[in-house]
Amino acid sequence: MEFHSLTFLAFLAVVLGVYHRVSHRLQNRTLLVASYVFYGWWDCRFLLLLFASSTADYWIARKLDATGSSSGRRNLLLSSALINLGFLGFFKYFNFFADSAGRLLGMFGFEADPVTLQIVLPVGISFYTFQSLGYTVDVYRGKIRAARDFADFLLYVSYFPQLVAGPIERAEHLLPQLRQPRKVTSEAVADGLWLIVVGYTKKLVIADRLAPLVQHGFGSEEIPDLNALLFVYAFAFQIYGDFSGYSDIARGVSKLLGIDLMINFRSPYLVATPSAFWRHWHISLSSWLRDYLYVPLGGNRKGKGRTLRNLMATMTLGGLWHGAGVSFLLWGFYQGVALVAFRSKREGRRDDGQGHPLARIASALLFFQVTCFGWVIFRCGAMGSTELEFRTLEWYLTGIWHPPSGWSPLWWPVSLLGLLAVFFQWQCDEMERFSAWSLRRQSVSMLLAISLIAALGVFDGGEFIYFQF
Amino acid sequence: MNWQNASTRLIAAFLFGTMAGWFVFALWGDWAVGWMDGLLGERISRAGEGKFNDSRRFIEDRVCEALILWTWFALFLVAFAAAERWMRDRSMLWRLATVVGTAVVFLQLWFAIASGTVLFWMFFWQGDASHNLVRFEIKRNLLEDDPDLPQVILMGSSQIRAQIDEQILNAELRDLCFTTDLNYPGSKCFDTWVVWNQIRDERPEYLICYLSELDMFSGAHGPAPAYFLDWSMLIRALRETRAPLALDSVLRHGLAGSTFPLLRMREPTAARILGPALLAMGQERHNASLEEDLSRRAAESAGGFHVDSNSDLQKECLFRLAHDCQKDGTVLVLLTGRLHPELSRRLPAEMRIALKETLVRLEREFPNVVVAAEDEMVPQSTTDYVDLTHINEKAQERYSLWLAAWMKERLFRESGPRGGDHD
Repeated sequence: MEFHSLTFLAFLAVVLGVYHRVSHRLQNRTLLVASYVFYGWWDCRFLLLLFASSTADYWIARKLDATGSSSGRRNLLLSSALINLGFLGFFKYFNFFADSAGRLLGMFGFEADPVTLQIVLPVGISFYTFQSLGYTVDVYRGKIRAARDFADFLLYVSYFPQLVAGPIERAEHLLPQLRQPRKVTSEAVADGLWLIVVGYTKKLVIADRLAPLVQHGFGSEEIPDLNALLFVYAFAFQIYGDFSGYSDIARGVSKLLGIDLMINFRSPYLVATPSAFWRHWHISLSSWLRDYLYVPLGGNRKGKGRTLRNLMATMTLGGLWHGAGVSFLLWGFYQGVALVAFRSKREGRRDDGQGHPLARIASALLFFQVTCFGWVIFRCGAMGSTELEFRTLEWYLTGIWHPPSGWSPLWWPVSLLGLLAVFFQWQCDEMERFSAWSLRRQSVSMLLAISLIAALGVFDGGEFIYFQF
Repeated sequence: MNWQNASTRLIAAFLFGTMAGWFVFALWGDWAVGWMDGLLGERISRAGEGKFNDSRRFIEDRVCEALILWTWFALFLVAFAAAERWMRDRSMLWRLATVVGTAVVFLQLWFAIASGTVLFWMFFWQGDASHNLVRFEIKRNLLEDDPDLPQVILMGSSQIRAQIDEQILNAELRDLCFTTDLNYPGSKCFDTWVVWNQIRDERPEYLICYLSELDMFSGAHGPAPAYFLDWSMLIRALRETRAPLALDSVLRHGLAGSTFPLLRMREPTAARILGPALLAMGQERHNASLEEDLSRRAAESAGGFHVDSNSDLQKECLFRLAHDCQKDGTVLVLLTGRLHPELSRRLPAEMRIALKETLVRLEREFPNVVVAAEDEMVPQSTTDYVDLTHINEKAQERYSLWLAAWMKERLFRESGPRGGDHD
């Protein structure tokens, strides 16, 4: 059940209708049932996986709360990590690692016949696994108490607006909201509706309009030239529109239910450093990686060398989180290198967006190229096979320098939709204050956004890109 | 009324401008149109490529359309401001819902009215790269401007456009009729019936369809219903045809577009704003994926032809079309269509037989149906085709000249349309 399907809109109408007519306790039960229906719509077999993963973490966290010895607590945490990462590893990485091991052995002359299974990737597994694992770590650290109500915890892991593509919520933020009775104000409803409309604009107008162009560009056999850059830019805007659009819709729907979800995207293409980029792009994942991986590894507390090593390890694993493929690993590594390089270069310099506006625009434009180079590697991860990934990467890296015989007419739509994506980033803080705007500004903006969707939206486009992660 | 308020003054200016516009048009419109015709008439006629004959009437109608659209826009602004004022004391959510709701409804209304004007569709015109809907709507709306001669409409898939050049027919039958090609690529009989119901109010005297196996045996419908289907037509289709009709995404788009006209204009609007290149990519990809060898492509394509419930639906739609034409007093001319011989010989023989039998039955049952049998037509060989379904320009010229002669002989020997209950 995709957010941009009529089925989802009907489902949401039914859920809202029931939700706002029942007591708080029943509201949570309604949401739980709705969340399991929502997830089961894809493949009801994986409901068991979701339930098993949630049950294990609920039980482990309760035990953690009750256990005093540090070794016992550590063992419990380890078992939670093993269960969660075990599920993730099996469903997402088994084939990749088995295949890679076979190739590696083959390189050393050993005949290997790797066992690969026809494993179907459960949608959203990376998101809910991290959310559930984050919870047990927080309980282990004593940051929060273990949830007492099993159903509330099941809802925390499966809460449908953010279940399949985030934001990856923190227990300390979401669980208290689930426990408390909620009041849905008219301001929250207006903000929620606006976020939904903005999300649909990003997804249907920007991402889905650019999707065929990106598909064409990354599957092309023609000899590339500088015009191929437009496919890279198109992908940069497509993935922003797709993913941040999803997050906006998730947050908007959640506001209609009286629950706040964290902001997942700000203005990632308007920043000038990799560290700033990660403070603006997929914020819930980058902050998760920071808190549960980078900091436990030592963060920046143990000298420069260790800091750089920790950064590289965190980003490479972050890359792998996105998908089981060499390209994602490479992309993570590239992000790590970029962070390390900029960190060494900019050490001691301010990174707060101060300075002459023109210089800031120039730095952002320059850094956008660095980001886009990363997107080329990332997009190659969707090519289907390692050979194709490398061939496409080579296609871009070698061909893009050739001068074009003429400018492609496709630059115009990419620039126009890119400007729209940039506008949403530039105004991201303002978008959050919709209910405080004047009525005229609200209605004109809403009308413009609805007209944009009606006039330029693609209603039979593909699914959200991040569902595959 | 607070005249100090900037928006009140703006709306007042809009309303005053609108009234002034109509006043000026009433007093000096004739003179202004004449002046514009003298200045631009020749160029406009050339650009029209035979779609209309009278440049003065063309200009006058467009000026009138501009005023109508402007008036509706001014009314839209008034409604928007009134809704805003009316809801001033309500809660924020109510105010927002009412104002946005009013604006959305008026916007849809405006687009519904605008889509009935040539001026509106001219904005979407992009020469050869224009969207099929834009070509169709411009020509459809120009039907009213056409000379006072019997109207001949060509309808069906792109095959009819490839077969017949409307300009040749107009030249050959100059004093007998005026032909307008309103084909919609990919159409099947169901599509043609749906599209016909959109234009039947024009009451053309003749409707010509070129029917081959492509129209009868290759699926339920083409893309046309996404732009022409409406609720009443869907109800008719469900009620009057016994074959099953699946409510797939094309039909759903059609219904959504009939409720919200802006949705119907989505693709032309996207082409206008974002440029035609982005939208042409799908077609280019499809063309690139086609087998280059015509013989192998024919073998591939033949797999898409079936005698099934969809072909039953097409047959029923054809009978409904004949029935509607009879009711409207329109003569339905059915040309027995052909395909590239490579494709024809790969299709089961019963398809051809069924097609011909259907045409014969139609001619027998409906007095307003005239069928041109295959053996009456100029022959077409392998060398006449550019692909499996379309013939080249030379063959088109030959066929159009034959058709003109055939029409003179079969349709215009006695004056006035044949059969039907014209009212």
